[in-house]
Amino acid sequence: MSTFMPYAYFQCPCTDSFPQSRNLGDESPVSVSSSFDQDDRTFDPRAPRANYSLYPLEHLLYCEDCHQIRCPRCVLDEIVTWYCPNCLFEVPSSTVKSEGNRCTRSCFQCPICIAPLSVSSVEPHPEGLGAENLTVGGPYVLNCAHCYWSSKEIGIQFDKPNGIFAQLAKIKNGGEPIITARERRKDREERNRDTSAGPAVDEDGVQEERAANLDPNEILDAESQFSNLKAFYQSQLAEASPTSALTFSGGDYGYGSPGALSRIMGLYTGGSFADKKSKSKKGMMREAQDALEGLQIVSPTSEDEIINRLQTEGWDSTASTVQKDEQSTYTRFINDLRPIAHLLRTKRAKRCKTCRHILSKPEPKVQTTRFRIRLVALNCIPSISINPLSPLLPGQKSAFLVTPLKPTQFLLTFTNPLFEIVKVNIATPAQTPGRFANKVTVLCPQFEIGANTDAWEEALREGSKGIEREKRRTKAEATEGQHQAEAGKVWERGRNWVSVVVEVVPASLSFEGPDFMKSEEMLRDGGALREDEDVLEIPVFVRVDWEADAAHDESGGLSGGGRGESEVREKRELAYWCVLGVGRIAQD
Amino acid sequence: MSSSKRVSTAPAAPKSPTVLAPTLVIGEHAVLTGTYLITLGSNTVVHPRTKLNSTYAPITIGNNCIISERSIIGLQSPGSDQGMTIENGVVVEVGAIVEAKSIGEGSIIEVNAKIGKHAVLGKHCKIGPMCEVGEHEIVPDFTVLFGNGMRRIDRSGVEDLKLKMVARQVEILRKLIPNNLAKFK
Amino acid sequence: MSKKAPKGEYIETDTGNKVSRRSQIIGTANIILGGKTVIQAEVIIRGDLLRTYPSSSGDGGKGGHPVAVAIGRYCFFARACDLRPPGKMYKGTFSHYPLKIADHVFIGPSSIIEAALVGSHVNIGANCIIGKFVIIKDFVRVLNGTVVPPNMVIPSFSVVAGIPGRVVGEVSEGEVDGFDLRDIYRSIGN
Repeated sequence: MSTFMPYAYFQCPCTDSFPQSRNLGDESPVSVSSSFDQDDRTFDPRAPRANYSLYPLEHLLYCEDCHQIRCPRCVLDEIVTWYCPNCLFEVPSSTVKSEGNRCTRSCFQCPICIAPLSVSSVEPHPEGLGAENLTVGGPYVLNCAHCYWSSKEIGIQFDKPNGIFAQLAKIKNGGEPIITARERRKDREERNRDTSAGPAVDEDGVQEERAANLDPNEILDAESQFSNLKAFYQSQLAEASPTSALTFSGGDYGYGSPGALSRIMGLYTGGSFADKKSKSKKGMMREAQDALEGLQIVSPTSEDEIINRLQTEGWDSTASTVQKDEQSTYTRFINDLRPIAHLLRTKRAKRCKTCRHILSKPEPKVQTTRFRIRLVALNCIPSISINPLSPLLPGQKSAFLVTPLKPTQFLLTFTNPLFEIVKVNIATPAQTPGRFANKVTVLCPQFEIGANTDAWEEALREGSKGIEREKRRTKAEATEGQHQAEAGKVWERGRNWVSVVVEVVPASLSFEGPDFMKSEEMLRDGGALREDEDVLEIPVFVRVDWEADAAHDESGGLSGGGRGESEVREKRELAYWCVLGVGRIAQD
Repeated sequence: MSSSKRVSTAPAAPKSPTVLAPTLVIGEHAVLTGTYLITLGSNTVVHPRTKLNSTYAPITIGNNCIISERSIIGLQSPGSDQGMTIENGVVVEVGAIVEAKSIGEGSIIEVNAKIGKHAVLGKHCKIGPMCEVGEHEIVPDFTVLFGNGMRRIDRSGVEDLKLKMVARQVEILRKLIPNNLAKFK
Repeated sequence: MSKKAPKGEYIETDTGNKVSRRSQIIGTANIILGGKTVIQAEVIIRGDLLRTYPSSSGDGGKGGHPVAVAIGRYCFFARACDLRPPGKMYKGTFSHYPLKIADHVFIGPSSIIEAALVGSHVNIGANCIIGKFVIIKDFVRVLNGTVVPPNMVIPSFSVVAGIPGRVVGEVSEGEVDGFDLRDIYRSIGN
């Protein structure tokens, strides 16, 4: 059996039925607890949607302006830096716009197994494979050190060891050259220039001229077809409404502007969306007519070749779904797979969706790991750690494997990261929701935790580990019978932490027994144990309140130590659901 | 798990009968145990803390092989006593468990890979990290196992190059690893 | 961890390294330990696999000493992991290259590391294989049982898993403090 690690997940309040629609100037958001009191709803950790709102505390941020927890769903991401995860070079956003979100240097992944590819010479200096044989001349290939795939297998070799992306863009699998999108564009632009310069406005005439260097019926790959079409429609648009021609410079569509968008819509809907200006100007738009303009006529025999290949080469020659997914175009055969240029990665700042304040901001440089702003929930709300109360019995495999129907006690340790004393109220349903109702009792639902003191750096570092050590002492006491868990009393407290006891009577996981012992839900659908249904999860509603000086909070700092004498103290309250995974119920 | 099997066998355990080439390199704390014959070819390097066990069948390892630390060679439980043959230029990486009947020339058994009992591996195969070859399985030449047990045939045609690389690596390792050969004779 | 050895499991060095008596360190002269590093039982460190290819900038060794494995402070090498300098062909000759490990690096039990560089605050789980010449930047988590393919570069704040390994997630802002290994170091008694 796999070992069980206890966990505490926190529910972000943003998932509470309605989207937060608080205005900027408002006071702190409506207390979540009150809304819960009203409908008296117990959070069910097994509800299908519960997984989407539960996070470990480390994944949550805290907005100091809204005084609220923020999860990945209620923050806005803002890209600070684009970079290639392989070569770690920063990519300017302008390049991302024009070249796409892949590394344009020499960073590729293996199309077979996604491991990184390295460049090596085909005829290495006396011998050797590997990235460093670059010093020698000769054609180069991309090699995978994991599955031994080589670009030689798809007939691709390179003249230079660098700038592989640009080289690859010019070679088809098998070694034939590709006319790249850029070349097409250039070609297209030249032709356009001819059109605008030449007095002949007759469309057909122009077309004949431009057929000079490219075969109008060539079979295009998806990428060039797209670029051809794109170029064609750009030129059409430019002709149709000269005012918009400016916005199309440099390969950017200019889709961002509503005017351009309505024009594009108008192309196909008879102009009803188009603004009056362009409507008045344009004549009829024509469609693409040949390969140069992106038109591909499907020939009825085009699939014969594929069927042939399937018949002769068999299953082994086809690409797997995973392999196909990584490709930018639809690919059937392993021989048609192409090396995958690394997708770029980003460094992102995070903003609160409600008040737009920045919650986290990394340094823009790729190689630095510091944050300029980092408001994490870990520093603002008490963390919870779970430990078994009784020491491990000999022969017991794990303290977190609990016996059905046997009362088991756990210690919940709350650690306060704040510099104020906080009052904590915790509540659990008497019975956990779900088919197997476990009985839960918190022996001390209300307590105060001392303030975190100075040298908070250090205190943070101490983290849960330090607590564990202290707790071990209490465990020893327990075995000596010094004290028993007592209702209404805190089990143990330290400088900024408090342990309380929660008692659980785990349900039996057996489906036998008289009906009256079963929960309603179980009667409705009997049947086998579902995945992870044996995990004992306790929903806990936590309400924390404390007094903070109003001034200190506006400055946004955490370090304000002035124990407000004259300052106005402001009451703060925070309430949220947690789910504690305390153990796995043993199966008979 | 390799760790559970690593019952501490002190180097002082009964020495197995061996035929060792004079140019062989065996590192410190390598363990050769068993009652059947262990034959190690010339220019082969046995890293420190490698275990060769001939309790159930003889082991023959060719020339220019590299057997890395923590790898376990030889049958670990009774089976056919036909013996195991590892051909020339085979690299067995760290923690691999090899119980095969034969391993073809130039094959690479990667870290923590497992070759089941009596399996037959062709030439120039590569068994990727943590990959497994089943018992009695016959793996054709140039097969590459990778990922979660995926397979393909390597057609890059650089096997001679790889053999040369192994030879170069052996040359270097001979200089680096203090030879303990005398102890095993 | 087990502390059964009668003499005490660990030998503590002047710089506060706690090295298990049952570790299997080879070529100690070529290994640098930054201090306060824990090396558990059965850990193999291959200090003997030295660089043989002449380096232009010197081997990075202090006082001309060749270095095969350089380890920073507050690292933790769990039971039976293996640190091994990677080797490759370069300009027609084979050579090993130093394995550099920065500070606060945790390596789980039975993991095998042949990386070129492991940055600071890196957590590598149990039974992982870090391939040859992998570069792991700071604040990276490698989940249990991952096989990181050779030559892979793992950027900061990545979570890596799978065979072959790929980036499956990001380390979030709140997890950053959790990579500190000072407490684990302190919790290792003798």
